[in-house]
Amino acid sequence: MDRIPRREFLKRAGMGVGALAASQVLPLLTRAYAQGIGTLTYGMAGGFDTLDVTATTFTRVGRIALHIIDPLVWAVAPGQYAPGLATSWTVSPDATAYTFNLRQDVKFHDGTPLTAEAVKVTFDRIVDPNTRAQTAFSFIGPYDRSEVVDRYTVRVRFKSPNAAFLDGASSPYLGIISPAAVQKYGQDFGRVVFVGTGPFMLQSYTADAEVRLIRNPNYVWGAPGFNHQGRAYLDGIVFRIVPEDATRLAALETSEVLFVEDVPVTDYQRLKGSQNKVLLEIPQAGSGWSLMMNQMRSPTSDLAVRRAMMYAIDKDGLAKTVWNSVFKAACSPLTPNMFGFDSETCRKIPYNADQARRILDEAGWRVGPDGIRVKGSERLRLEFFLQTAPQKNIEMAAFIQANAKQVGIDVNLNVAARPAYLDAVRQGRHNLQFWWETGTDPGQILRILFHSSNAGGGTNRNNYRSPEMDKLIEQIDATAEQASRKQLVVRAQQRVIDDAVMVYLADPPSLYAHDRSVTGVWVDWGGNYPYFFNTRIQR
Amino acid sequence: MLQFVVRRLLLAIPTMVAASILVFLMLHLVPGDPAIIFFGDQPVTPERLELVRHQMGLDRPLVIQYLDFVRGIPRGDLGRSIHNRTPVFEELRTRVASSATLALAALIVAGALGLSLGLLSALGRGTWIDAGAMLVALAGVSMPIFWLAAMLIFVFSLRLGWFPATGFGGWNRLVLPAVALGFVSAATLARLVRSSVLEVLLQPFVTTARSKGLREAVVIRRHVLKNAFIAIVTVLGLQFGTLLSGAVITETVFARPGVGKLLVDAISNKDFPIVQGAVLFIALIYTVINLVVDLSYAYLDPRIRFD
Amino acid sequence: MPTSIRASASTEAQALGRAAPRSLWGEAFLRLRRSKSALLGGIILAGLIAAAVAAPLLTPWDPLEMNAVDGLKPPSARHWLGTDILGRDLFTRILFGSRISLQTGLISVAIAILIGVPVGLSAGFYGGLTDRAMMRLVDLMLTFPGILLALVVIAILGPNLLNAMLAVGISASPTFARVVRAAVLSSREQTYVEAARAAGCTNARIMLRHILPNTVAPIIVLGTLGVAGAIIAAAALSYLGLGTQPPTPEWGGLLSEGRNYLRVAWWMTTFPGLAIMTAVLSINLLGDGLRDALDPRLQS
Repeated sequence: MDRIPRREFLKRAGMGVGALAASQVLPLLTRAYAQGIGTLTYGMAGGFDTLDVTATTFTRVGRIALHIIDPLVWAVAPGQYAPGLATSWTVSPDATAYTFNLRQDVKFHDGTPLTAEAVKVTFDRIVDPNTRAQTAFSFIGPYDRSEVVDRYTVRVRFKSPNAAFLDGASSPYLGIISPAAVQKYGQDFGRVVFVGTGPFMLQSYTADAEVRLIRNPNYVWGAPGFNHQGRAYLDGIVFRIVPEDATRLAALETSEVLFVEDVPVTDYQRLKGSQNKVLLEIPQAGSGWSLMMNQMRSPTSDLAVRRAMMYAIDKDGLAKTVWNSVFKAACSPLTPNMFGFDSETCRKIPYNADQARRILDEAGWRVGPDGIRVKGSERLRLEFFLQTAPQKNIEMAAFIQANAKQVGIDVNLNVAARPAYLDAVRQGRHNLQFWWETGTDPGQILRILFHSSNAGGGTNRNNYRSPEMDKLIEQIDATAEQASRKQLVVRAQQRVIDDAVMVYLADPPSLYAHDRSVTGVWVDWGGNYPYFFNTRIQR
Repeated sequence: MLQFVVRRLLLAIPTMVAASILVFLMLHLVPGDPAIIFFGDQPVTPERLELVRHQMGLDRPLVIQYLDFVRGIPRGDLGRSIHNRTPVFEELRTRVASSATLALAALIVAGALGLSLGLLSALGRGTWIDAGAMLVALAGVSMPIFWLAAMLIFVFSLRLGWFPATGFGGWNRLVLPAVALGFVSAATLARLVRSSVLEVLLQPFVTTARSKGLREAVVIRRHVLKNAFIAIVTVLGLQFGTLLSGAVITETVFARPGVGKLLVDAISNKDFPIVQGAVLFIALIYTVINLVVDLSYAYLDPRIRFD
Repeated sequence: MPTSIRASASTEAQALGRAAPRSLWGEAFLRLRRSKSALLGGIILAGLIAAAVAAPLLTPWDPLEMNAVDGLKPPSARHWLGTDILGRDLFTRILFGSRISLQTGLISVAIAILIGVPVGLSAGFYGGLTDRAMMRLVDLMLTFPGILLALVVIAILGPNLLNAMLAVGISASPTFARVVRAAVLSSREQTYVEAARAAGCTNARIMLRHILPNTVAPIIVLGTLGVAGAIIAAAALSYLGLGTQPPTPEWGGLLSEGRNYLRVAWWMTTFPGLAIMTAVLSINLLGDGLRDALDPRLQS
């Protein structure tokens, strides 16, 4: 894969966030601040299961762990990667083998050196059933084994082509962890200790309360893409867990925390106009908010009903009403910043209630006495299962319900707690359910949503089974060459729109806010991981 | 007396056993497979699902699952969460400490506020003081706690800057959550104090004391207060458990870790060991508190006997 | 104090089985009518109930009807109490919400009383083994307090209005049992109970005729507060997303919907909050009047 010169990396990385550009101008000051300048407090929107980034399902854990580990490569733009712990790499033509050359000056926080063996142990641990890895397990894909070529060279082999592997390797979830620490702490790894090679080290973890990190004093292997390679500027980072939106924002305003994630859209305008706070708005890569329609259950098994739903929902109205126009109406299963996004999809299904009515009329769904359509003895009633949180779920659902009613579809809301919800949708008792996926590789997103291997209780709760689509997804995974990969991704998007698989509702930005005294925050292009290696707090 | 204490403590053992069995069974009635919940919205193959089910020990008979839990208790081993495999004791330790601190602080707020409001209105019965005190108490019960908590943050943290908005750490962080949580209990308490004081004021022994020429302040201190304490102690004893583990909302709003939040999460994950461990812990604390409450009855009102 | 003498004379008369059973309630009703605050409470409550029943006649809007362009509008002539984020009329939603909320409050407390009072009464009266067994049961329930018990009940039965009422009622019942037991413990030693016993009254008769009336005051205090508590508890369940199913409006749910908009739409929390307070206040005034009427010794 192509390597990117440092300046280019900075420019691209800075595209999302202006903050990095500022630190670019100040490279000479780097040394002066090297003593460390304060602790950044971060208001996190909820707790999580474990700090073990290999085992977790939480994006929040990735956000914390990115500071404790170093990824093998950094993603700088869709489909483009820069060196991290790996200085260079080669990919076999069939995308089944990746060879990484590692930096030779890197030590884990426990003092042991980073070697090819550590990479092997980290990856083997992901597929070890005892680890019960989740997010990392999806990222590593059809992993076969790792081979230690020499002390600093490792070759990762896959059972089938995995063109998306560099994307996975750039995520915190495949960050390299210390084999010695894993060995020593066993089941407690990730609960009381977590050892990587990153610019910050875990100091303490109080569940549901806070995670404290302190600066790694020995860090000299910052990725060449960043403006300095030595120790981080901050003395430490405290991730404080503040689940209630209003409290988190209040804490930002009183400067109890200097940085917050998940800014509610209702606070968007106020923060945007604020004198002493900065709002970061980065389009979030992934699927956006969408609606899955179960094809295994009547009446969403009827293509006409699904097509009518696609036309019946006023996506612009939804983005405006529920999301304060901060979100944008969605077009396809991929957000516009994703590699291979097809802008043609935005013209395909405009909001058109009359069109929806026509489709239903033609399919034999006649308007009944109460305004709800019937066909034979069947009422056009859709069971919509949704979880109790977040509240925006319920607002969106109420909006969709009202839209559907306009065309004679009765949407029944079933708000359920997590166990009951999962029970229902895994068993396919739903007609409708929300989906929202973050991720930066289109192949991975499409596989989660549409591959038949994920139907029948998995993540494809459309229960959409199409051999053509399966083949397309497999081809995407096997094609490393960019132009033809793009073609395949475009075809896949058109296909699922023609088959009326899902309704694509809204594309969200990732919203963060911080105190104006905080500078040099880097966020990945997908919008998921703010990184404080370059960050300073100016008094 | 000692015999009573010992007997009560021994009797607590079956209560706790019953509690743990009941909780275990109730959790099994909750629909949902813990392994499926574990994978949530992640892709999973049937084989991996089966494997995790096995690792969680869900493929064994219920009785064995329960006995496994019980077997560890004498060694102080409450097992590990089936979800993230953290030792249950570890999960409980910091949260119990945090919740108990908050509950105690809230009790102090509730006791002080409830007693003074209740006394004020009982003694000033029929006047505007009575009406005012009862209105305050009424406001307390009719305010949902998340609203009260949000208002406290808005006024005392955002506008006045007196206290931090998040409530984990130093003592100054305890004030707002304790007031929010205590205020609601204070309202109930004030009403009960008022009615019990009114009742006591009409008892023959108060009349006797008055007719003997005792000063009103002495009457109140010696007789009325002592009897009002019965109501207070009853309610506080009843509410400590609620304050300890039912403070989910207060704790969420003020960003404090707590047993309630742990339990809510564990219930929705069907994480049996965590729920059982937590309930056992709460049952133990509750037993001790209520033993103290019952003992104080005998002290406060000699007519109450323990037989 | 003539009233107190009269009251004890009448209870003694009852203890000897001579007084007409109507006297207690009949007198109470007369006293209730004389209380101005109880009357006020009753009128407000009746007004609220009437408004709930006549809801569709009092508003031109549909509680579920959305109007995207009218989202988050402050109170105006068009929308008296403003609109929510989906442009639904808040006045209408509060009005229709009162149907659900008043029901929830009253039925939950009725459930709590039906479970709690018999348990507390028999535990306190019989003492000994019965007391211990019953109180162990109560302890058991209290170790798994309020909202969590409700949570489990709803997790098992599924979230809907009826289950929410059941959950709130069950979780409130131990408090009733405990307080009733405490009242019984002190009243069973009273002379009139001993007199009744000496007169050969059956246990059931003593419990229902002589002890239960003495526990009525705390039951009413707790019960009226309990209605408030139940409305609030339902609000807490709504906060956790386990109350009534949306889009059906309910006061607690409306309040909880508004909490994300505290700073941009004050009306979304203020008016449902005021509705709850008004209802709670009227129920309590009525309750106070009832208690005074039933327990004449407390009349000044």
